[in-house]
Amino acid sequence: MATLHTVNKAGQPLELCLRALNPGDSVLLLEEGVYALYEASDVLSDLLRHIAVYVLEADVLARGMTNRDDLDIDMVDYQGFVELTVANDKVVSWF
Amino acid sequence: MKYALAVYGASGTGQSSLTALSFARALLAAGHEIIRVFFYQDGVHNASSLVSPPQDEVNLPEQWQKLITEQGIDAVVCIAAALRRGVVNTEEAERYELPASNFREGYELSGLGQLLEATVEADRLVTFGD
Repeated sequence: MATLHTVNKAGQPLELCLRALNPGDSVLLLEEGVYALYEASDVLSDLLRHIAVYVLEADVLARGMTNRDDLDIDMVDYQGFVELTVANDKVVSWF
Repeated sequence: MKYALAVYGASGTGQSSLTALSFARALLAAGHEIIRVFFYQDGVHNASSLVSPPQDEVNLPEQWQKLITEQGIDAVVCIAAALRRGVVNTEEAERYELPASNFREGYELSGLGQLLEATVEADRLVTFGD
């Protein structure tokens, strides 16, 4: 049972999400959660060793940010968000 | 696939209402079915007909209503969350002897059981938290 975890803030929601992850799960950073690209990059680079991490493009661009070239994080649009919810068996939202 | 969406955020606070609306549009564009949108907690403000943002900003309740009526989506607003926030239809306004009502057409006031039912019936539940 693969789960997609959406995280909309870089602080506590991300921390709580990290405790609930299982191998094969994916994480999608959205809204204020995209700040984790820079605020929590150590955590993310650690996470990326066994979990796929994505960021929502519209929220990255809305904050004048860019995706990190040094981390293997895919930027997805809303269509990609939909595809992630199809590819996983369930969706858990951390907010 | 069948989707149920839960919207917890108000139109005037945070971003979750807009995120949910954008996701809903992308779902329909990809050929999926939305069996219910459930507006809970502060999300009930998305059913208010009195929300009037500045002209250069998107009117989220209006956009939600447009999507809901055009696509025939089942939209349920939590009645307990709505009453405590002053989002009421004419029936509830009469029942509680309130001076006005502000409920948009196309939505239904009902209980939390509707969220549970949608969760069971849908292939996916996606929650948009505040």
